[in-house]
Amino acid sequence: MLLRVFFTPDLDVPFDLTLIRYEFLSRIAMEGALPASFSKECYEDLLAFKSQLIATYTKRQERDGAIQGTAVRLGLLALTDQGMPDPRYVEVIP
Amino acid sequence: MTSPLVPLPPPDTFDQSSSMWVDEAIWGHRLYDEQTPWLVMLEFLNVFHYELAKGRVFEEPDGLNTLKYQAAQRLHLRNILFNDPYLAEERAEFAHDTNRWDEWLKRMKTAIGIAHPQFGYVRDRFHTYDDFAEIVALIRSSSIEVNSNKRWTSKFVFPYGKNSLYEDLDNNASTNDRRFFGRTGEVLYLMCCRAQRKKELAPALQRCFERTDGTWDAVVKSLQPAEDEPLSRDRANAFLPYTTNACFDDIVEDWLAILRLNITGFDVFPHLVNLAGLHLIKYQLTIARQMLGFPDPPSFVCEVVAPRKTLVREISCEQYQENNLLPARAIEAYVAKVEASPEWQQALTESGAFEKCRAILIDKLRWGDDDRDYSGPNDPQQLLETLRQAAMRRHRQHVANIHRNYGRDIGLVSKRGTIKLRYAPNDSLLKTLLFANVNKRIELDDFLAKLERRYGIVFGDREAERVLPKGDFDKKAFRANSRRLEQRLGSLGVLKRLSDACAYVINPYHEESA
Repeated sequence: MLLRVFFTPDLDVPFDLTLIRYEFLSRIAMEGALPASFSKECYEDLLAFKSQLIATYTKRQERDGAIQGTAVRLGLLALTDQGMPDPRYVEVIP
Repeated sequence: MTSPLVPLPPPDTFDQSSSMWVDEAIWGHRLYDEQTPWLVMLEFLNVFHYELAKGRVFEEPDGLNTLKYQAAQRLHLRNILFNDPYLAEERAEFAHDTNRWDEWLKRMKTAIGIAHPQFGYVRDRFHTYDDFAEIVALIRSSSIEVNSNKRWTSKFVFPYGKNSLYEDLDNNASTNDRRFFGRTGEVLYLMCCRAQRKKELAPALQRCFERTDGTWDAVVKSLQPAEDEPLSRDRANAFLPYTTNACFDDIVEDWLAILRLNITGFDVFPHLVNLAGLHLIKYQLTIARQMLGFPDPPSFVCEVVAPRKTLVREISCEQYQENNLLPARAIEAYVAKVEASPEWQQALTESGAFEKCRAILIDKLRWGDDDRDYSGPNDPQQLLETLRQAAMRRHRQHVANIHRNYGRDIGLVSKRGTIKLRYAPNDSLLKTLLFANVNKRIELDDFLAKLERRYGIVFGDREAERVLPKGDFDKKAFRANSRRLEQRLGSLGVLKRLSDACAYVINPYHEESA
């Protein structure tokens, strides 16, 4: 199955979502940790995919012209004691 | 490769040098083992950005070995990040934001290395003290060698941009004592200056910085005052003894290949660092071999770690040992060259031979002018022997360790599965080599041949047959080694076997290239 992440109608990143990759992602989603029973190949494939997503996102920003504000807003993600995501936003005025 | 070494004359400031000029004459001023490849990169980037701003990047407009630059010190930033272990305590101790800020500002009045410490600007950059503490923790956690116990003045922010670059300083934060910025980054810069494709490198590096997310550099800048902090005094005296060398071209070529790939943002830096370390090792060994008159470049027989001892591991261990001794042998050869020089031989035949020989050593090698150097009998042979011992002693302190330390730092050298060091590249280095040498895809056999041709790195049987003496070569062992490599590359997601006969190495970042 081909997964395609669209940033704009003409800017997308394809990813061949094989059964193994799907299972790998499902296990991470369920267990919250990288499963050790999978080969590193899945992990490396996803790192390359992530890299392509970020590069395409940057390309879109360059094309559209990113909105430049005076403040930098960062979203920091931590985990609570129960292992739940705990987002926190910090603003910096450079 | 076989062309004789023709070193450049020492720099003008040579006569101010307080230590002997032997390692420096062979490899430059200087290769320094305590400066890890990451710190080499940081020092390089300091020089790069300064020279770029001056409009003379990778040029040596005043002649070879005349590099002079100034580095940022960013002491406000460094005091906040690395010289204030109590930042989090204020959060626990004081309930109100105002009290936290007041306490912190009071403490920062004792910041080191700043004439009149004023940190009030920080308060204007954050809504709350909590936000400030979060940001500081975040930047600290991403710093280079984050868990090292080095002094606070030798801790470095990740090179997010030019606002994150500064030089190493002594304990008082007053000057660069060359403890961890030992000029290897300057030598690397000079290597780039003398590479054939240097003109392509400057825009490629610039593009790399432009492409990265500027947010992080802006965040680092927010911890610094608005007005520019003073730069260091002139940093000079870097020296690279050769006008050209294949090693200089190779590193630039590899960096260009990596920079062309459009690897996302800051992910490109570990590859640049790995390649810098690898080429510095190769440079050291290549020059040593040339000094010793060997016609071939160095080779590195690499084991793809096997579950038990193999012949490849044995050969790799032996070759590591041989290569490790090459620089020391080059020192011996250099001293022997002094002894064989017509000048020395002439001096031996004249009256006052000892004083004349001593004068040669003082003049050429900056050694022998006081009793601490030599206090033995007036015998030229004894004098030379003492020099040899002193040169070896000094060499063993730092330069001799480059091969081992850099090799381990970049993941080329390992003890894994054994007690001896040998070449056993880790995944990170394998990926770096692949990204630098594969455009889109290439047959595995061609990839192995390319690694041998460009770096002397040997995995497979064909390359081993070419490089090793007949007695050492065992086809079966090296075939098994390349099969293990094939499996490793497969597990990294960079190898596809299309049929039983054809395995392709693929570069997943190639399609992104501009």
